[in-house]
Amino acid sequence: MDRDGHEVSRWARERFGAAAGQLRDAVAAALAEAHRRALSAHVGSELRRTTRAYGMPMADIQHDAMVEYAGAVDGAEVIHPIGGQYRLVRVRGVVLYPWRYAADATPVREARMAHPVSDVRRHLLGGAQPGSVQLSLDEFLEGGGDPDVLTALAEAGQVVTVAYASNPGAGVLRAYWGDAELVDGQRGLVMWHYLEELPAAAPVPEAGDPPATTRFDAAALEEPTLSMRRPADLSREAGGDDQR
Amino acid sequence: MTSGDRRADRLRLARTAASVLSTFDPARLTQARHLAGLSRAAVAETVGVPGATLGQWESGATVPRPDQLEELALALDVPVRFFAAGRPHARLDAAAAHFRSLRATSTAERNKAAAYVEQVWELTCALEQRVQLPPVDLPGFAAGELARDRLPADPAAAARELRRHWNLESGPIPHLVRTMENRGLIVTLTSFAGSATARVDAFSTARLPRPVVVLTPDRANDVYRHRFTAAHELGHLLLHDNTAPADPEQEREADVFAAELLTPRDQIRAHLPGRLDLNALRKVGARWGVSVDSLIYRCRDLGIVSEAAYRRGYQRLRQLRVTGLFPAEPVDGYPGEVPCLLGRAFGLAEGSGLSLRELAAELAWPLPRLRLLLGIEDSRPELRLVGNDW
Repeated sequence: MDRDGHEVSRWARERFGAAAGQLRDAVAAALAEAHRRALSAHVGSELRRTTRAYGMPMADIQHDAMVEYAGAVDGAEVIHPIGGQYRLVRVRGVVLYPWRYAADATPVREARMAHPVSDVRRHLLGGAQPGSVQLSLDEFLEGGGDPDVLTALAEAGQVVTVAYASNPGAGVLRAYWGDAELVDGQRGLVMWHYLEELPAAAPVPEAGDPPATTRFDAAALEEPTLSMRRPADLSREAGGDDQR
Repeated sequence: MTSGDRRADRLRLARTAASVLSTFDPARLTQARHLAGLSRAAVAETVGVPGATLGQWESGATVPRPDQLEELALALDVPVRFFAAGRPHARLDAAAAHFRSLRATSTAERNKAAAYVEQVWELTCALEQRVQLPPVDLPGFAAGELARDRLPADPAAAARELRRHWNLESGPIPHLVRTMENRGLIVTLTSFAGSATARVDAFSTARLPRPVVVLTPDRANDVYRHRFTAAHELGHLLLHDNTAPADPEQEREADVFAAELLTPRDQIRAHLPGRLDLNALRKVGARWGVSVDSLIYRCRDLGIVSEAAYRRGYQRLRQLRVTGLFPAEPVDGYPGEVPCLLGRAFGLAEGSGLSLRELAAELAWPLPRLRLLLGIEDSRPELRLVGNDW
């Protein structure tokens, strides 16, 4: 159980040990922060018909936010993958890999990675199986990226994928973490061996769903008081009611 | 239709034109021309007479021939009977209405708007012959006239007085347009001038037996802007006897009135955040039925934020709007902000046997015009010529 009362799963405890609850909250906060920063980029762009100014910087922002929040968790370290322009967080030898899988309500299990998939992604996620053998990622992350080592790493299940959907208007719609395998790099097909939804991220500032508040019109709507006139009414008023 | 039918129709029309001539009302010709948005020269050319002749017809110096009357009816899209005297006709000069801005509005468009209000009054008058409408309940209003000395000259104080008068002393006003209608004001929301309606903007007049407020559909895309506009026009009605269209001081006063009516200073202060948090302002706006823009202005007005923060807030809001992150809510989802009084009155009269066709005949209007003013959609399928382009 974490401090907000959410149950910490057995899977998370196996992957991250005692820091699992803290890490889960940090990941959710990192995604909310990443959204906030990407939103600023989007708003600053003043682009009306595209959200590219949100999605493109998000590719980098997500890593920075993850380093800032998840990297501060007890026992976390920050690493530089070879061939990647960004940093990743590793906790107890397990790398957290963020993936914005959709901008809408697409089910996460139906989402595909942009394809063809980048080398780093392919190396990190290709052929991953939930395994118990803990191998070092150092050779890949800091060494030469030997294909045999990469295969071994992938098979060892050393990567936890943080998958989330977000857009400028709605904020972070859904976020998950789990064991994902890239089964077809050409087509971006992903298979989830384990998937767990993360608790709701922090509230999205300045944009998002309509505010949950009592609306101004939440009051009875009074009908106009109308009645048919009687002939007597008309004869009483006759003679002075118009401006001919 | 056979040639015999056509001849009979033609004869009927000629007889109508001849009978209308005996009661020809020059003011109706002017009204029809204004409604059509045409200049005298344009109508004269269509009818095939010199411009001076049309001027003489409108001044009553001379009268058109029956065939010319038919031409006029055709050119101005009204029935020939439209030109007959005998129906209530409240004259409204365009200068007697509060137009917000004259920059984008041509004289023809303002005349068209004034003629539209005349028609709104005629329709109201026809319905009031049958249906008892709510009495006009404005401070100082009696016998068709508004005594403005009954209200404080200060716009904010006048707004507070109106709230007191209408028993709306605390909290948000939930249904502003309905509240105005239930107090006997006539409010309309139609594209009375087609695509030019947006240029005319909202306006109002208290020169008729019932005050009329005309709201325009372009502002109805945003319910908060729509409500502010309605409150702004109420301000003009109550504060400004002498209309000075687009006078910046009158416009400012009407804005102050609207802000105080919708968000009274003493009540809203406690709800405003200490800094310009747009999300927090959005929630306050949803609670009070006002835009974030007006709340940003209110924050500065009440000294809650600095001038620099105020400017940054607007800039930020503009950016959010541009990128579609602060979408406006159209008025359609708010029945209390859509006028219904005239439509409801007709519905009641219809239940007692009045038909649209009868009412249109009484007013001498084309049926589509009556539908437009009543806010009744024409459900009949549209007929179009298809096939060869001949």
